[in-house]
Formats: sequence, C-alpha cells, structure tokens
Amino acid sequence: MSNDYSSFQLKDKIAIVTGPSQGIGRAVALGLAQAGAHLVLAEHPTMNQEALKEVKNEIEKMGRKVLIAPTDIASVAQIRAMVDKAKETFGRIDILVNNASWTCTGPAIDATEEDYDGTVDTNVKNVFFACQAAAKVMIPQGGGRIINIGSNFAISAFRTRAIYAAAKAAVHQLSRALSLEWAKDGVVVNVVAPCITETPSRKPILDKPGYKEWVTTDKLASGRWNQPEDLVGAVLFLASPQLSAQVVGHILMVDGGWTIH
Amino acid sequence: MKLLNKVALITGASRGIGRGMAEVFAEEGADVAVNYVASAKAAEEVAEYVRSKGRRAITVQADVPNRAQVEAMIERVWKELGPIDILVNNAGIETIVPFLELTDEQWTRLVDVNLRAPWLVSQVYCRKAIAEKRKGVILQVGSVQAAKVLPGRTHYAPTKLGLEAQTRNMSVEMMPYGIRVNCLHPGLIETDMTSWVMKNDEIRPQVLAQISMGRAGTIREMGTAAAFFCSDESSYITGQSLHAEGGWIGK
Repeated sequence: MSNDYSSFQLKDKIAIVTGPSQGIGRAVALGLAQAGAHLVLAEHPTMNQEALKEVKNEIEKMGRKVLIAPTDIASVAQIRAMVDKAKETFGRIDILVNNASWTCTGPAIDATEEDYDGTVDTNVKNVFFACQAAAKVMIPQGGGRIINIGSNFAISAFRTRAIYAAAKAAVHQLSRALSLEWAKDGVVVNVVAPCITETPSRKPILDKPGYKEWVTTDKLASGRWNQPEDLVGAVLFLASPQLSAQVVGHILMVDGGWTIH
Repeated sequence: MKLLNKVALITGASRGIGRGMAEVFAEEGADVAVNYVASAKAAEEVAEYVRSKGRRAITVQADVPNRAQVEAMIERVWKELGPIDILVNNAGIETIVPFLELTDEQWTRLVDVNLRAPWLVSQVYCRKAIAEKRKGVILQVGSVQAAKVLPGRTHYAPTKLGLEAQTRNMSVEMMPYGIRVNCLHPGLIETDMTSWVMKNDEIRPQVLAQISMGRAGTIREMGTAAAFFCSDESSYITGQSLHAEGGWIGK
C-alpha cells in the first residue's frame, strides 16, 4: 500500500465499480481508494459476501467511504437504481468502471440460447445502460469518466469464446460511439482491455494442463501471466481527467503483448 | 505515478509537445535531457524550467537522423545525468505537399526524420542499456494521422502509421531485456507547428468539428499522457499505441 497515486488527482472522487469482490474489480476498487476516491461497490446477488466485506473494510481502513449497492447486473432496472443510489448518497458520480460480466466458455456448436443471452446481456446490455444512467448524472454535473473493461479476445479471435469475443468487441465499439456523443459534455468513455488474468473466476481455465505454459510462451511477449494489479494503473489513468484529458474512445490494451503479434 | 529520480531523454524537447513532456516529467520528479537541433535558447529555457522544479537538466544538441551525433548524445546524457530510464522519440517534422507535387527529396527527408530516426535513437539507446544491464522504457510520438486522412500527407501519414509497427516489433524484441516500447498519437495540439491552423478562421472550425471534444489539446495534456506511459503504473503495457487526440471522428 505504498504506491504514490497522488499524480492521478482522484482525491474525493466518487467511483462506481461493478464486480468488486474479486479479481480485476477488487484490484481496481482498492486502487481507486488508494488514489483517494470514495467507492460505490455493486453487489451482485451471487457474489461472495465475505469477500466483498473484506474489500469494504480495506477501503474504509484507508479513510475512504464505501456504499454497497445491491445490483443484479442482468437487470437494467437495478443498474439504474444503483446509479440513483450512488447519486443520492454522494451527490455526484465522477467515475464508472463497468467490470462485472458473466461468460460462457465452450465450443460454439454446443452453445445454448441461455449461454448467448447470459453472455451478451451481462457484457453489452448492462454496460450500455450503466453508461447511459451514469451519463445522465455526469452530463449535468459537467463531466465524468467511464471505463469499460474489454478483452484481448475482442481483437484476437479465440476458440471456445465466440460469443464472449463478439460481446467484448461490441463493448469496444460501444465505448467509441458513446464518446462521440458525450465528449463535448465532458463525459468520456474508454476501454481497458486485459488478456486472461489470474483471477478466481479464470482459475479453472488457467489450471488446465499446459495452458499457462502455452500462453506465457507463445502469446505473451511479457512472458508472465496478467495479474489483476496490472490493470490498476490503466484504470486510474483513464479515470483521471487531468492525466488523460485528450484520450477519448480509446481501447487501451493491457495484455502483455498478446494482440501485437 | 511519480517518475521520481528517473532520467529521461526527450528528443525535440525545445518546444511544442516535447516541451510539455519535459515540464510534466520534471514535476513528476524526473531529471530531463532536452534534445534540440537548432533552438539552443528555447532548449535552455526548458532546462531552466526543469531546474526550477528542483530536478537536474541538460540541453544536448543532436540531429536525430545522424548516428554519430545520436551516439554522442546518449553517451553524454548517460555520463552527466546517469543511466537513461526513459527515452521519448518526440522529434519530428511535418510538411504539407499534395501527392502529385511531392519530390523524392521531400519524401526522403521527412521519412528519415520521422521513421528512421526513432529507430536509430532507440537502437543506440537499447544497445547501451543492454550493455549496462539497465531496464527502461521508450515512448514514440506518432499522430492521429496514423488512423485519419488529412490532405497533403502522403509522406507524413505513413511514417506515423509505420511508427506503430516499429513500436510493436521493437517491443517484442526488447521485452526480454525489460525495455517497454509504446507510442502516443497526439491529434491537433496547440504548438508552433499547428499555429497556422489555430489562427486560420476558415480552417480552424473545420478541424475542430472533427474532434469529439470540440477543442485542440495542450502540450501539457500530452505530457501527462506520456508520463503515465513512462511510469511504473503502466508496467504491463507494451507495444501499444495510445490515441490522445480528443476523439477524432471517423478514424
């Protein structure tokens, strides 16, 4: 906890993070708090409550405020309620990080309608309506920064991830298009796109024999696995109106070089 | 995101975007070598600003396409400020000449400065860093024109798109040595180089209409974006080209 994030100038900013109990969302929420922000943590019904509580405690230990907002991210009504609650509690919303999502994994030939809807609804539909709801708060207050978590698979196709790849590609393009509409009003939408990251939700894939070795040798110029903490700097950068003022509708790859080959 | 005690060499830092980078880097705690080719006085002013922030600075003259001058520059910075942690290949030129009128000489000169020089300076720097077992980071400065057509740039635009490929390829070859390579694509930034646009009441609104934010960027905004890419907070980002141009429409 010795990182000096003062240059990002995020002290007392209000930030919403979806999917904050583990993995990337957790690292990002803690990073934002370390940089001085107060957090709204979206609590999905199936979320590990103990883990979320730990994140809350850690943030409060830093002297930052935390609001837990129960939010089923598959429900547009609940996403809107989450944004309303954040506005009601803190008076404004400076940063929204759309991180939460669900994904099916498997051969496309076997995918069901539930797989498709579940993946697209929690990656595209919820992101769009969260952006819209946040923008309705951010535009009247003079601006805000939205960061959507994308994926290397939006750029680089991958077997067993067809639906997810298409959904994440939609997130990338959605973010660019929304920026065109809202940038003049100070609301900028950018993407941070990681490659597969060593998180609890990805563990079953990473543990497959040979997978990690194959990826780190063949796919990652960095030669090492992506960690949740690797995303923090990129999110803080794009959350900071001072640092990334001119960065609009950009897809920032944080993928150890996966997509440059 | 501090650049505390890092040593940065910025090419073409006497004015414009390079100057903005030097200023922000100094405020973030870096010592700065200010490269220039002709404007000694302006370079000294930038160095003075760096010193006013309590950091060390030198000015160093070198024409970046000239290998002997570049080698001398790297050696001198290394000797006077210490091992270089950050190299910014910012120096570049832009001319506007319609495709049908462009001459061989105009093409060759511009490509030499904008595409061969960043490769050359990077190579000299990397050889030195590897020999001295030092890690580091290189930032290339491209342009929104890597993705967007503006008239009269059949020579300029390819150099900036070419920098993307150069960045990717260098990043992969230098990764084993712990040297990251990224690229920053500025759009319309208020500098001496673009003052003709900002002063022209006919052209200015046409250009601004293409920018989502509806305004030109500042050299300081390029400095802050560059500082992030040269900081440890971007340690997993390599081979990337970051567009920092206010959202150009249709790119």
